[in-house]
Amino acid sequence: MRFTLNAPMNNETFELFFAMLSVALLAGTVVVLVARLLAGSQTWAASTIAAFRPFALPLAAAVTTTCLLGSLYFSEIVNYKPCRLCWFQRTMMYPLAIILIIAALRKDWKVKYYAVPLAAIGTVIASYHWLLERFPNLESGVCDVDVPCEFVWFELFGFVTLPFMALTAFIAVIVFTTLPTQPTEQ
Amino acid sequence: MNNPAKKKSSGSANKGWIVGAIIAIIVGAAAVVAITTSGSDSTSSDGLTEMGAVSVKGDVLPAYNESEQNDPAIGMTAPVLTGKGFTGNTITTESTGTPMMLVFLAHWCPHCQREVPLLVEWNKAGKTPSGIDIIAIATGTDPANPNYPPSEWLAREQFPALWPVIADSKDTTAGDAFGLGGYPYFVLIDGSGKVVKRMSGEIAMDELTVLLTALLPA
Repeated sequence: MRFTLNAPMNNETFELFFAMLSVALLAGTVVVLVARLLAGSQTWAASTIAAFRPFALPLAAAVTTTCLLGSLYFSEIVNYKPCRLCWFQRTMMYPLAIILIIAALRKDWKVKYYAVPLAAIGTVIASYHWLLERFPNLESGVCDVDVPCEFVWFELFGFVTLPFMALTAFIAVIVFTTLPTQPTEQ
Repeated sequence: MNNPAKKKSSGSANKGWIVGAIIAIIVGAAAVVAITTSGSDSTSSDGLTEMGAVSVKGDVLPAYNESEQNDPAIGMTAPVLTGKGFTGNTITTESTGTPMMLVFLAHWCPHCQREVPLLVEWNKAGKTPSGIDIIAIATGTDPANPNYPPSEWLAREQFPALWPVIADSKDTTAGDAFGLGGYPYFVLIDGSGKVVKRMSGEIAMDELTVLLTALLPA
């Protein structure tokens, strides 16, 4: 069974919801990253990292699971056809969701050895895709008849698009899964 | 000193929290889906025709492939399109002995969005060679895609004031008849109705001027 939407205006609610999640995630990731960089010299930063650590893996799992469900929503329900670069990002994001759920349940910090390469590749692809949306002539001067990668399905706040959302998720996974583990867990 | 019982209890609590969070996400996503699919908004566009039936007379052209050096459509008689403009007026590409350029545009394509203002500026600057009919076809139209409707987009760019625009069908009948191979897509036809050149992608106006001038009788 295939659901279809005939109410494009209502899609905007969901797009806004995802865009806000993405911006919030980016802000949170920056805070965690800064705290991590300053943890050696600032007490508040070390405390922040210590407080956040138990939630890092579950949050990474939640982020990638949300991306998985969100991408399926946009492609299967709203009918936003994924382009070639979207598919490349999916091949990184979908396995990440599965292995991060398992890692979060097992509290397995060694997942970083599997998650970071996937997320790093995803970061590169999503960055390029986002740039291609900004500068369509990076790749060619022609739109593919089917689904061109420079095609922007929607844009919010002037910069949040689907590849941007994927990019923030990939970066968050890298930052969250590479937090220093506690001595007792090593 | 470690307390295994306490550690196990803490681990179970964490697992419960994780499972709860994932269920909450799934339920939340399902709720949003339910809400967003229950609306009944329409996508009317002031009564203008954004997509319409297009009739094709003659043989359709083979699909255009930019990488092929020799386009098999060159020299073939171009099919004749008859369709409606955005306001319902009938437009045809029937040859009147005048060379013609067909421009296929998709409202959602960023390259088309860049090309249209160039074409308008090119015309306003008086650089368009005279003696050539130019007809645009708004194709690939999809209400779910950005920059819809095409009538508003092209009106904003003052395009229809310069050249007629055929609204292609939902199934891109006109585009398929000309072997559409990407957007924007140009087909140059000589005065006898034969295809002279097909090309896709953005094109510089100086280059277009040269190509069109070559179409004109010496």
